[in-house]
Amino acid sequence: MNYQGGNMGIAAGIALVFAVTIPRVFLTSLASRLVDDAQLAWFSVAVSAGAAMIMTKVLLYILSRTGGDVIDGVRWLLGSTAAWLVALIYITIFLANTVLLLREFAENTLLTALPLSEFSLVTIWYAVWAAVFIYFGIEVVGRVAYMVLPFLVASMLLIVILLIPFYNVYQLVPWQGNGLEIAVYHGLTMAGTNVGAVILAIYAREFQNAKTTAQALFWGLGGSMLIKVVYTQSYLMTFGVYVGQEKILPFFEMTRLVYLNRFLQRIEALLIALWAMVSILAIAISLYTVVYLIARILELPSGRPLVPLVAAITANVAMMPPDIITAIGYEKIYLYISSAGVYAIPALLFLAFFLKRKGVKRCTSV
Amino acid sequence: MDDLSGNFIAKIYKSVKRLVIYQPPQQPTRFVLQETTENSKISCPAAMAIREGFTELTKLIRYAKRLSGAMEEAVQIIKSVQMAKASPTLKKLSITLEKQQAELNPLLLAYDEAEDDVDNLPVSASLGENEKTIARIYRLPYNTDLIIHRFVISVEPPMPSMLIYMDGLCDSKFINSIVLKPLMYYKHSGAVLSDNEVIKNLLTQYLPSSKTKTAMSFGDVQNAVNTGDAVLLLEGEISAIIIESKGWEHRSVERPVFEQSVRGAQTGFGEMLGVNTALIRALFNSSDLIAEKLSVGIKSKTACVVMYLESVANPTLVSEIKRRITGIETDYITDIGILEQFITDHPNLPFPTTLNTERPDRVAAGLNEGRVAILLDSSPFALVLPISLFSLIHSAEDFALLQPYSSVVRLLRWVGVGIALFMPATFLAISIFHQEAIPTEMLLAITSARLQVPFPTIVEMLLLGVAFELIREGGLRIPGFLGPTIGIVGGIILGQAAVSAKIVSPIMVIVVAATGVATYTIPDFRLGAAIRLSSLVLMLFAAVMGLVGIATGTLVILAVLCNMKSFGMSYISPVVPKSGAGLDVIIRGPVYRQEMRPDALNPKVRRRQPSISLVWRKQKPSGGDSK
Repeated sequence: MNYQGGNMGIAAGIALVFAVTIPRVFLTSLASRLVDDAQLAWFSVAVSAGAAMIMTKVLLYILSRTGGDVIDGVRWLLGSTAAWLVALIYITIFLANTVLLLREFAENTLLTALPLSEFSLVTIWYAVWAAVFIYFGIEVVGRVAYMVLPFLVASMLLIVILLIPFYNVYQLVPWQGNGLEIAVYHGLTMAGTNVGAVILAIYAREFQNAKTTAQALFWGLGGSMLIKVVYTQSYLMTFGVYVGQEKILPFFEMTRLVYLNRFLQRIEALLIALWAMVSILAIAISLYTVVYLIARILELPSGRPLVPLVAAITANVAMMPPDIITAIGYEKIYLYISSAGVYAIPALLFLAFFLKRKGVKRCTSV
Repeated sequence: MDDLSGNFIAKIYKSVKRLVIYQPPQQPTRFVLQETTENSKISCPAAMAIREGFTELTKLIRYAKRLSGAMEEAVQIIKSVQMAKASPTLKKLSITLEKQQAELNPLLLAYDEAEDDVDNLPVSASLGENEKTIARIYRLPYNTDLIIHRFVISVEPPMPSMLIYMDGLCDSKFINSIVLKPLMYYKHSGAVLSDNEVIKNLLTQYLPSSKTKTAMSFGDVQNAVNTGDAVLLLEGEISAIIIESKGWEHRSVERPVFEQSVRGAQTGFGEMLGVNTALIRALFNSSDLIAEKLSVGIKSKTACVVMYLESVANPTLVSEIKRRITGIETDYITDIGILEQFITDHPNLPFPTTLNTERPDRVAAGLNEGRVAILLDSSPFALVLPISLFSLIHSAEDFALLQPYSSVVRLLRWVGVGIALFMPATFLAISIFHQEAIPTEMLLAITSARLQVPFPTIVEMLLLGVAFELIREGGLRIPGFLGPTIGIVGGIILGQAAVSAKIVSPIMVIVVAATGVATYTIPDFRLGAAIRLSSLVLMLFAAVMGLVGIATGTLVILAVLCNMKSFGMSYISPVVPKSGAGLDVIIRGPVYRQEMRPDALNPKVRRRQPSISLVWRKQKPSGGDSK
C-alpha cells in the first residue's frame, strides 16, 4: 500500500502530529488531569508530551539508521514475527483511539451542538465522513490538516486571550498541587495521550527523509504540547482545581464564559465547527493508520477496500459503552496501556539496535 | 362477389360500407429515424476485392481512353503541316502520359485502392484523376461552397490547371489579383516552363506570394483548402501548390468584454488565431517566445497554438501539454472550453484548473512566470496553465493599480468568496440548530419575520436561490441592454412580491442577495460557479448537521482541493505544499519586490529580476539637491 510515497514534507508532518495529539483538549482530559495533579496539571501535560517526544525521537533515530518505516525497522532488527506483533500492537492502539475519539466526540456533539439528534446518527456521521476523507490518502489528510492548523491555533489562542478577565493567576503558583513527584509520575504514565506522534515512524516511507520526520516531530508535538500546556493553565486560572475537575467538557465551558458584547454572544456555538474539524481529522488519521498497518503487514496492494469495513466496525464498537462515563473510564485505561506504544516498542528497538549497531550504516533517506 | 359486382344489392352494400367503414386518409409513410449501419468499410473481404478491382479497372479504362485520344491527336498533328509548332505540345503530352502510366503500375494501383484513407493518396499527374479524387473527398456536387476553377496557363505548351478553394474562407481579391491574374494574363512571348522545374518556375516567376508551398498528398491538399488556402493543381505534375489566401470575415481587435479594467491594456482577443498570437507577441518582444502549432479534431483539424517562453517554461510541462493535446481523439473541437475539458486533470469537478482569459496582457504575464498558453483558432479566449486557486482570484488590473489598493481589493474578493461560500450555510445552521448564537433581538426579529412563512428554512433558501439563479441566467440569455434590466426588475419585483406573499422572509432575501452579490466579486466566472455549487453542498450539510455539517463539508471541500492538480502543479500551491510565490498570493507585494517566479511552476529560471531592481536609486541624479 503506497499512496504518493515520499511526497510529504515538514508542514504535512507537523499538521498530522498536531491534529492527532491535540483533540483531547476538547474532551474531558483536562478535568481528569486536574483530579490527578491539581495545580500542577499543566506540568504533567508537559511531562507526557516530553516523554513521548523523546521516545518517538529515539524511534525515528533508529529508523534513520535502518531505513524504511517502523515495520521495516522491526523486521530488520527483530524479525518478521516481531514486526507482526508490533504492527498488531499499533493497530490495537490506533483502533482503540479511533473508537474512543468517535464515541467522545459524538457525545460531545450531542451535549453541545445537536442535543435533539440521534446518538447513532451522529456516530455514523463522523465514521462515514472520516472514511470518505481518508479515501484521498494520508498526504491529502496532512495537507488539509496543515490548512486548518493556523485557524485552529488562532481560534484557541483567541479564547485564551478573551478569558483574561476571568484569570486567577494564584492557581499557578508552584507550591500548590499534589506534588511534583506525583505530577511527573502521572505525566509519564499518561504519555499514551501523545502516542499519535508515532505516526511519523509508521508513515516514515511517505516522508521525504529522516530530517523531515525529526523536524515534524519537534514542531508538531512541541506545538501541540505548548497549546495543551497553555490551555491547562488557562483552564486552571479560569475555574480553579475544584470547579475545573467537575466539568465534562472543559473547552466548551471555557468558551461559554467568553463575552464580547450583547450583539456577539455565545461564541461557543460558532466554535463547534472548530472542534468538529479537529475531531474528524483526528479520527481520520487514526482510522487511516489502522487501515495502513493492516494493509502493510498483509502486504495488500491497497487498503481502500478495508476502509468502509474498519469504519463500520469502529462505529459499532464506539456505540457499545452504555454511557459517556464508562467511555471516559475506558479512555483512562487506554491512555495507560497505549503508553506501551510510546515506551516499550522504541526501547525494545533501541536495545536491539544497540546490539546490532555494528552492521548498521547511517541512512539519511527513509 | 365478382359476379355480383354490378348487382344492385352489391352497389348498395358498397355504398353503405363506404359510408360506415372509416377510411384513414392517404398520407405518406411517417418518417422514422432508423439506426444507421456503422459508416465503416465493407467488412466482407470478397466484396472489398471486387470494389478495389472495379476501381482499378475504371482507372485503367480512363487511362486507355486518354491514351487513345492522345494518339488520335498525335496522328492529326503529324498529318498537318504544323509539326514543328506542335512538337512541344506532343512532348508535354507524352511526358504526362508517362507519369500517369507510372502511377498505373499494378502494384501501386492495388496499394492506392486498398488505402481507405484518402488523406494518404498522392497527387496524380492527371488533372482529371485529381478532380475525381477531389470530388470524392468533398462529396461533389452536394458540396456547393468548394470552388474548382479550371483554366489554362498561357505558356508553351499551354498547361491545363485547376485552382481549388473554399468560398468565403479565402480572400477573393487575393485569388483574382495575386493568383489567377498572373497565371492567366501574364503572357510574355515565348514563355516556356521547363519540364523538370514547372513548380519552381511558377513559384518564382508567376506567383507573387511569399506564403506558398508544395503538397504531395491529398491530406495536405484538404488541410489547406479547409483552412482557407487555395490549391493549384497542374496537368502533368505530381505535386500541388498551396497558396496562403486566408481571408474570411472576422471581428477586428476590440476591447475585452468580460475582463474589463479601469487601468491596464484595453485589447482583447478576436477569432483570428494569427492575430491573437501576434497580440501576445506584440506585448512580449522576445525571440524565445515559442508558438508551436498543433492540430486538434480528427475531422475539424482545428489549429491550436501552444505558446511558452523557451528559456523559462519547464520543458516537462510543455511536453505534457503537447502530449495531451495531440492525444485527443475526437471529431470536432470548436471551442477552447471544449479543448480544456479534454486536457484538464479534473474535468468532472467544477473548479477550473486553467485561467481562461481574453486579455493578451494576462497571457503575457503568465508566460513570463513560466506558464504555458493555449490558443485555438476561432476562439477569442486563451488558456493559461497551470494555475492555482489563488491566481483565479487575481484580476487583470491588479498590477496596474498601486500595491496597497490592489491588495485591499484582493482581500475584498476573498471576503466575497467567504460570504458566497459560508453565509447561506451558516445562516441555515444557526437558525435551525444553534439559535443561541444569534443575539436575542435579532432572533426575535428573524422568528417574527418567519412566522407566516410556510416552508422550512432550507426549502425557503433553496427556493430563493433557484429564483436568483433563474434571474441571473435569464439576464445573461436576453440579448442587449434588456438583460441587466430584466435582472434588476425581476430581482426587485420578485423579491418584494415573494416577501409580501409570505413565501420567503425578508432576512432570507438579504442572505441570498448578499451571497449572490459576493459571488460577482470573483473575477473568474467558472470559479464563481464552482463556489456557488460548493455553497449548495455546504447548505445541504448544514441543513442536516448544523455547524458540525459545515465543518464536515469544509473538510471534504478542502480535501478535494488538496487532491487537485493543475497540469501536475498542486491546485492550492503555494500554500499547500508550501512554496515560494514571489509576494503574489493574496496580498500583492510591490512590483520591484517580485523577484522570483512561482516556485510551484518549477521554471528553468527562478529569478525574474535582480534583488535590487530599482537600480536608479543607487545612481546619482544629474540635477536637483547636491546633498
